[in-house]
Amino acid sequence: MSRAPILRYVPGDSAVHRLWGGTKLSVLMGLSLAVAAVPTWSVELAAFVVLLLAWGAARLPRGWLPRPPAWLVVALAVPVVIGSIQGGSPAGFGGLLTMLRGTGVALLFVLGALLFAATTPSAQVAPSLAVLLRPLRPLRLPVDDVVLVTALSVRCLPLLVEEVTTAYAAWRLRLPARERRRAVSVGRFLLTAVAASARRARELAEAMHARGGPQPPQRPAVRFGAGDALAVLLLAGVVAVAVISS
Amino acid sequence: MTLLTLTGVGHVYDAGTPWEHRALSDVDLAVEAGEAIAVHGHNGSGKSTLFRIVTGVLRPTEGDARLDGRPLTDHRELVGACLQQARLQLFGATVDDDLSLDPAVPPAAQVSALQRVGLDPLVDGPRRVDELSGGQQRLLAIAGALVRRPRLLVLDEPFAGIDPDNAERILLALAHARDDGIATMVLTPDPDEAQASGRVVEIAAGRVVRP
Repeated sequence: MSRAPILRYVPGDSAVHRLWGGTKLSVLMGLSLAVAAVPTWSVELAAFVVLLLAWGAARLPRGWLPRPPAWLVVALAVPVVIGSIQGGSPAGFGGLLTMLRGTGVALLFVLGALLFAATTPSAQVAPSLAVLLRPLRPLRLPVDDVVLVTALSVRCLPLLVEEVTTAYAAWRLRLPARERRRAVSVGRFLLTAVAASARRARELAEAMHARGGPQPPQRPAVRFGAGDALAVLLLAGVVAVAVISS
Repeated sequence: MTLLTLTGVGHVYDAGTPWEHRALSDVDLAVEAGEAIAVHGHNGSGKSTLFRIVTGVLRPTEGDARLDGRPLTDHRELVGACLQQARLQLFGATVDDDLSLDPAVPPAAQVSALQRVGLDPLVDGPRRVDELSGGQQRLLAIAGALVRRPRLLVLDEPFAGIDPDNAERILLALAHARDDGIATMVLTPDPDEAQASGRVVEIAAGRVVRP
């Protein structure tokens, strides 16, 4: 693990890279629903196995996985410690096991998101979502709006992160350490970050308006191959475990 | 007297990851106290990385960066920085608010800093930051940096997208700063702006090609 940037695409030509974006989204959604609906050890284990298989098949280079910051490790360890002193069956480990299972679900979501981002170009996300949500259109759900917002979010998030990072660096440069600790200074920084984000959003809206208003994302042909079928089969296996467990 | 010394400075972003890339290599640079220096280079030449290192925001992965003989990252308060997007470094609602972020700065110094950049303390002081034009925001950012009495003032593309009047004001503000013994460093992709801003250092592909 390294100080890798999070949620960034790693170019490659592995079996997982070649999967259709919609397949990866569906499998992730299915795994998340399965472990959320039936949070048993067997379902979690099955979901982890699927993710680990995908990780291996993605042939990602060393260093792609970001190193968790120390505060996150502590934040994860605290509930585990609390759970371990809570007792409960079996043999006084009930609390600990419950906490570990909850932490496992969180790790599963994070690993799934990282794997998806590392193997899927961001330009594929909105078009894949458009295809997946198409069946909901007859229900008069705002499918186009959801897809458009997703496309804009995926595109703008890196810009926003960069601006806030720059504003934070400027804040540290302009204010002495004693001033930065004051709540009012933190509030000023947040206001500047919000103002900068609002300005960026306005510029984006003006640019879209100048080009004739929001355009629905292009829908490329769905490439559903053998790899996609295998991924869906694996998801079906996890769902089967969940059904049996429940 | 040498103020800033960069010795063999290089920087690699995201080292040890699939996104690893080198932005600077083996940069040697010395800036004297009160000197005017301009770093000229095209987009992607490494100017922004150099800006981050010189302002102490980024610790170089290679080499040594010192200000007054001390590690630069430990003495960021001696460096004033002006970003290309000036709005990102304005943290007050009004011009006066922004200059009084640090209560240790006396009001007289705030007035002086505004006058140094050609803004009127009485007229512009009560104005909201978001009412200012892009050029005026940049002037205010320079005033905000000057008010802390830095030893070195670093500006990232200060003339980008502003009118000739405000560009002239910026050049004048830099001249005033040097009169006060503050060294100025302007990073720009424009050769004419570089010539107007002081001794030109040429940077290309992360290396100094003309010291």
